[in-house]
Amino acid sequence: MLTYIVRRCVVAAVMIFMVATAVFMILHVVPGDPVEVMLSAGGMTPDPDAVTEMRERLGLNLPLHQQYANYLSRLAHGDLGQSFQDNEDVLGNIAQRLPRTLELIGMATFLSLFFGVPLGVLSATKRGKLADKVLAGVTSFALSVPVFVVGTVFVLFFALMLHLVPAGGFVPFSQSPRQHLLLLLMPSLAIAVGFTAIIIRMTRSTVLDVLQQDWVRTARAKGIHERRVIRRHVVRNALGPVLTVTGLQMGSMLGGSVLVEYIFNWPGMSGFLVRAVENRDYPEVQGIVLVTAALFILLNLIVDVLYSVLDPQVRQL
Amino acid sequence: MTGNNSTFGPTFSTRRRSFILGTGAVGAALVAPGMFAGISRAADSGTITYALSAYPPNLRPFENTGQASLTVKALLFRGLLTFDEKGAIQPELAESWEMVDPKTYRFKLRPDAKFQNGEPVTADDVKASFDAIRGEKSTAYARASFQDVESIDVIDPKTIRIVLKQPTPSFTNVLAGQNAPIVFAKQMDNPDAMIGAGPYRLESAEKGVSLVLKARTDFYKPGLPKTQTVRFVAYADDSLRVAALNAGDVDIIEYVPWQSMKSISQTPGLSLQSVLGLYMYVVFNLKQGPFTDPRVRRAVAHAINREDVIKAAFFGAGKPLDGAPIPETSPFYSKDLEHLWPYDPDRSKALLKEAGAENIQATLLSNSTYGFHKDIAEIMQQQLAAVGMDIKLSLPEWGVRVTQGNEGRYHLAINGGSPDLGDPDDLTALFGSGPNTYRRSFGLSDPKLDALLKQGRNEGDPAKRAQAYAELQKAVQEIAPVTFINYRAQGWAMRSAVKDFKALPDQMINQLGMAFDTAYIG
Repeated sequence: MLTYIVRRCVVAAVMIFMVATAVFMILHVVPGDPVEVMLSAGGMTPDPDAVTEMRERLGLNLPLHQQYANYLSRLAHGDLGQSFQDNEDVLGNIAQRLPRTLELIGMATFLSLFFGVPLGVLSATKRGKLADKVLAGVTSFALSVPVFVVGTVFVLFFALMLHLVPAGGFVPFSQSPRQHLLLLLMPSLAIAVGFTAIIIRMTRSTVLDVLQQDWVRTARAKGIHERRVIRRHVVRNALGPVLTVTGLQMGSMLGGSVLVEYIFNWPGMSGFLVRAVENRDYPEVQGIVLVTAALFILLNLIVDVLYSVLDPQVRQL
Repeated sequence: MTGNNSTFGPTFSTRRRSFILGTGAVGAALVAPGMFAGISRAADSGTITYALSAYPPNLRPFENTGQASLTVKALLFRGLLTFDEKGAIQPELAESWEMVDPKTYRFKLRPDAKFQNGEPVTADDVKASFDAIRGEKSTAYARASFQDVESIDVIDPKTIRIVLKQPTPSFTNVLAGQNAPIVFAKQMDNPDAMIGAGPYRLESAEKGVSLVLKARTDFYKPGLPKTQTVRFVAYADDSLRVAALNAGDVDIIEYVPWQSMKSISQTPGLSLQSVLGLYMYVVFNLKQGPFTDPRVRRAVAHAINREDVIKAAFFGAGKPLDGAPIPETSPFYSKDLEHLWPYDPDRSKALLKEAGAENIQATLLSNSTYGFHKDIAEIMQQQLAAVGMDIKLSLPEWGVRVTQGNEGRYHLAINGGSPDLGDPDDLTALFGSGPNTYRRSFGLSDPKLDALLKQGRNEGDPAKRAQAYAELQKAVQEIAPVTFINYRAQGWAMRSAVKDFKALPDQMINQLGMAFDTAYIG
């Protein structure tokens, strides 16, 4: 078990280095100059002297290999650099934004699993019955409605028509826990709509799979109570693939919740990344991509370890 | 449960029951009235909540990072002069000023003007601020305008004299604009921590989310500002910004989307203000390709049906602009010169024939970041096709578009422009020669235009100035270094309870933040 984890960790470190290199190279290949974008934001011609001066200040006049070396050596010290825009520490800004995105993902995942797994099991055990058919319809609908439509409808319905919640926004938890959670609920629900549908479908198909297995028949033959059969023998064995999908889905939400963040004005990582790219703020983009990639890798690691807890056979591999 | 469900029945009846119980609990929590009570609405009379369209990239006083920053900075920083509601220049940190001769200005500072740290505003601060702007290594937005300055002399702690190299009437507009603020001279090392003399101070900022500004008690204008707290909240999404106003989360929103203008103006309890300062225009590549010939450029200018563009891209919220952008409110406006290139496809075709350029193929550069830039490009493609031009669209995102524009990788391109000074000297940035940038036609350098621009810029006598700018517009009609499309409406919507918040006239569109001096919730 330990060697398994150590091996995975080494692979993870190599992958992070590759991501760091790739994002640096891609950023410098993509057209668009940070200084030009910044100095022309006011809608006026930037003075060529000012452009040169700011390039020097930001170290963008150095040859590329030197910039790369500087970047790697800073990185080795755990320094992600300062933003081009406001000179703020990138790591600090990520530390401020990341929890908000994690919280959003966490809440959405909780809601999706909370509703998705029981409904998926229900759908499988009632295969072909009304409940299954209704759920099949509902999940196809939920899967095919884009998240920005769900989000916009939520705003219209809950904020503008029912006046239950503000139309998006963010309040720090320390300031008002209740408002914070209230504002968190809307975007989480919007994400959860599609995510729950995925979980229902996944759970349904794996439960159906497991129900065919010999050991289920054996367990029933032994006279074990059906509830116990489902819980212990079916659901537990069916959860592996569901967990994998959940992990992947959570990972892709790290950088992919931009639409939801945008619609609900939730100041998370995705929106931060989009603005950083628009402004060609190299240190911010590099920092965010690196942290996101590291988390993605970590998340997969956790899923793999969990998997091995659920299924001891994996440990042997 | 019925018998035929014997296999799974007992299990799932319980499970379902607990499940329903669970969802019921969540549902109950959702509708529990207590949970939603006390959501902070924007009704507090001492607080104005203003929805920005973007969070300010920074609040550096001398840089210009867009409208959102300018609006917030107007509350924190002040200059020597400012504009009044009609757009006339009036004293701000200066108590009075006089033009000693056409090249020399003398400013007397307010005796009671203080910075946010309580220190008095002195002539030394003014000199240090302006020296920082015009310095050799300065990245200040107003640096180019300050190259006209010959010397800045401190006469006494409250008097300062500025001598220009030659008469430049628009220089006072530069000082009245927002890009020449006075900062506390002893704390200028860090551009992100400079201290200004505005009516508010920054109390807190949540990056990417909101800024809270508190009124000072020692502001030099008695009784102002009228509102204790101004909260700026960034709403990047247009429709959410409107929704936030409708829901009562905010008091004022900026950049009202054009499609919402009509419905907002019809909503009881809300009001809409809009001005026409910002405009759209077309730049050409003058170094290579079909548009090196002025006749072909004029053919483009005559081929654009501007009414249609406004209807399709701006939901009718705009005004055609087929001459130079000098608003009707300007003393330099002339009715005869308003329409330099009226829509006339036949004339356009004739011009192309005359130039021997009937089968033009060209690339029109716009961008995908701003929807209305893209919409205009698509409409223009059709309109130019109608006079026989084969136009290919290039729609990269903004950063790429800027680089391609700066490098001249286009034949013609869509741009947005704004009046910077509220003076016809703004035309220098459009028609004058200078370093290559995406804001200007690539390779533009026309001796005749440059001479007329300079004449207008350095002429002290208003009548002769007007004459020079009239000549300039006639030359522009002929040369067509750029062409214009339309003014677009810039809207602010607010709850009716907001009083005395006034967007300034068209050409002063960038000065909006000043409106917070008098605004209050009544």
